[in-house]
Amino acid sequence: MATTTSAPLLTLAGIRKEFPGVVALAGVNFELLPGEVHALVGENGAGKSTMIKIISGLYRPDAGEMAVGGEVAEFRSPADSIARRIKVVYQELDLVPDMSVAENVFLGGYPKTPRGLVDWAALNSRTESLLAELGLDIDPGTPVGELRVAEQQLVEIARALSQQAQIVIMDEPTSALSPGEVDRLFAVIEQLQQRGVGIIYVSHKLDEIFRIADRVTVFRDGQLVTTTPIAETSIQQLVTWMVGRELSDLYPKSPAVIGEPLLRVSNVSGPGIYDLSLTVHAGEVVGIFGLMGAGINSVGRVIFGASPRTAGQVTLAGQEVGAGSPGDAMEKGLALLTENRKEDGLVLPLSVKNNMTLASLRKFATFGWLWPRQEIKESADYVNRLSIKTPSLRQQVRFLSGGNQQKVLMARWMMRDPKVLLLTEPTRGIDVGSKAEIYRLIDEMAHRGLGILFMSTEIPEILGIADRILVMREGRIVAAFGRNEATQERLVAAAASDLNDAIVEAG
Amino acid sequence: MSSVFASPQENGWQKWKAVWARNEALSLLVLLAGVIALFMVIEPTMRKSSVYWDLLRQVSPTMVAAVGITLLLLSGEFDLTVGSMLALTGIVIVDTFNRTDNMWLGILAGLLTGLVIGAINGTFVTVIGMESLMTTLGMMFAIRGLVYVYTNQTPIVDQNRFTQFTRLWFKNFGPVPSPIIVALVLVALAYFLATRTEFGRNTYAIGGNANAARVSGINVRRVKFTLFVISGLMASVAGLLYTAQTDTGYFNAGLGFELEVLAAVVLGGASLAGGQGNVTSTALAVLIIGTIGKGMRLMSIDTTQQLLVIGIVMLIAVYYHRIRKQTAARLTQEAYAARQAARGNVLA
Repeated sequence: MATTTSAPLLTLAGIRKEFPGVVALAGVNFELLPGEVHALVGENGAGKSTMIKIISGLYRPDAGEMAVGGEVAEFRSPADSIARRIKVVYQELDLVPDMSVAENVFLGGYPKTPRGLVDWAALNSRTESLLAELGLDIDPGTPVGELRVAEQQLVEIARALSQQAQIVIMDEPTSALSPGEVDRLFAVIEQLQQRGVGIIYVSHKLDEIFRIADRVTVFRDGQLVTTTPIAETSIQQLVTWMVGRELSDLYPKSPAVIGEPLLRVSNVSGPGIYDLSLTVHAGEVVGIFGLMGAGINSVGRVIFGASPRTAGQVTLAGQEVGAGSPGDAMEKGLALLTENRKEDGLVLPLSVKNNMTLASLRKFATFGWLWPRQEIKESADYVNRLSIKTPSLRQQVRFLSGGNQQKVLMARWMMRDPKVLLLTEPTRGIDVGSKAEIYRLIDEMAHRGLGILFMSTEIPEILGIADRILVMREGRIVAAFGRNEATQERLVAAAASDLNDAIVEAG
Repeated sequence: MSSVFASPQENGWQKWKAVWARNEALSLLVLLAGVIALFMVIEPTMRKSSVYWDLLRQVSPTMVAAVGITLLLLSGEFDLTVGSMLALTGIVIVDTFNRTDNMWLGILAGLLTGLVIGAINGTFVTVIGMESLMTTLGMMFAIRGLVYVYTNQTPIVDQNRFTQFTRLWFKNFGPVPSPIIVALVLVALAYFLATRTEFGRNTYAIGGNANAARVSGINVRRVKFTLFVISGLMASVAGLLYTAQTDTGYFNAGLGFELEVLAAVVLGGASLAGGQGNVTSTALAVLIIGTIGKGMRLMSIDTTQQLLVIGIVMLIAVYYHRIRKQTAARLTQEAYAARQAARGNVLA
């Protein structure tokens, strides 16, 4: 797709960035061609985000040169970068939810009437034509807050077009999209390519990179390992470059010793789920697979009582669990890892230790008075056991990487010694090394006799770690497979409804 | 501590900067010392120790109320009723004195007032789910109105002249005035409540992320309700100290007091969004604002001009905090990026 003969849009030569004591980026050479999708991969902290921050003007390099469109570029702030027609679409979108699509698309540069007022007619019609060019059918007057995340992302891209961006940087753009929405995003990316826009695409999802990218650049420990055309490499090869050794066993799976039934869910309904029945045995990992929006995110919340249960019964080891009471569920031996770390998992301003012990403070207290020594000791044990990378227990949890944050939350629940652990998308948005460790922990816990209920939208991990797989569609369980009978094709076939097919076609 | 935080190449100066930036209380202590030193240079009276003992007496009601508000704010909720509470408590105490001729009943009635108003605020916010800023603003007006109506805008004087009661304000233990002892005991209790108890930990968690706290099994409503009661109780203790000063219930007592308290809480670095702050810093901030006021009074600066100066000082102080917090965040992020880059392969 890329016309390799044309002059590069962006050139980095010998770019170096140091932080006190260490090198975050060691003399990187990089090129982005017009019409090219150039993927960046690497573990967290490998240097990808430092490089993006330099390109977008947030950091200034200590050495090296950058050129945009053949002219030397020295950015002092993000404004300088935007002025050179570089646009970053961040994971957390920076749109104003209460303003309309059109207002957002032209935010900061509204078309004006001769009197200097905002020209609303032009604003709406120009937005409409931009959206049409991208093949999107969205009313420019809709408040952005009412759109789905996928559509908001496309609005961001329309905004890039309105700013006539030549270089678009996308940071994990598909982490919240359904397969149909991913297809639509990729179609839009191809549109951008045809206009000669260069795209830097950062993702942990390697299979996507093979669908969309022309070239891939791998980072490790601040070094650029290699840049290669995508056609000349493989997923296995990329992973080896990223982690620096061969990662032979991503999904460790000890032979399951299935015991007594622990968790019984009978005919449970709640927001987003209908008539759910399932059983989890001691030592068993039960996976629930569903596409985005199929209701898998509600399963854990309703069982645990974080969302209301409108019908049905939940028992744990024979004891009934009350509806709508996380406290009661915890007492009976349930634990829930929610799907959104930042929304209802972490308390960002608090320390690693205080986040870990949040759900088990009673254990360290007599009549409400805390005994810090014991608390510190147990937290330190978990930091070691889960190999959480943190400079100290006092570090604010917001400064940890996604993978380490997720391990802090795992520790929070393991500390309570639950009988059954409900995990909702525990590996979303974290790097492959941390993923492997979380799979290892799950296997270890199941081996110790815990029951695990594992909800995920990613097929490979479900196939990799579950003993039994249930498939969910529109809030209902529609199929069940044993470990040996489940395949990717069967899961997808069961999970895709007519509705989802329609979205795929529309994209 | 510093060995844990410091990145490998921090020199002596940078290390001090890091300590200053990361320690709220220490940075305020530096500010307090600066303010005192400044006044000592320009106003000779400020060099006498008696001035400071007097200052401690005067700031004690503010300190008590501010500590209560800080605890509540840690959970992300506001209480604007403290000013009106100062008046209401005074009225209730002295009125009970006059009706029962019993000092202890008066004091008890005053404290009970705080408990009841706190519980009412707590009910509105946690049971009915009303927004605390507007709720307590409404309560602030309602209580003040109640005080005006009940007193018909005349002060209520203690007819028994309970000298034992006024000692709560005027008695000294050695050079130490009694009201500051009350205040410091409450600061210490609040400090331990916030840092050493399950309740305190839950409070920080709720202010930092109420959803996460709920999913972790914390009873968010109960904790917040209790905090409103504590805040009400602290406001009535402040009212108790204030009333002991004149042995009179004034309908106009504490006008604007809630803003003075809130100013101290914010200067103490507590986040208005909740989850961040500590009572020691609030107490220090009360001292800073008190010292500035005291210094200007001694220099016989006109009260109207005082207001101007206090306003400007507040702005400077908030700016000082911002610089400090930014420095802290930058140092942490740099150290983190440095470690990430330094640590090599995450799987190794």
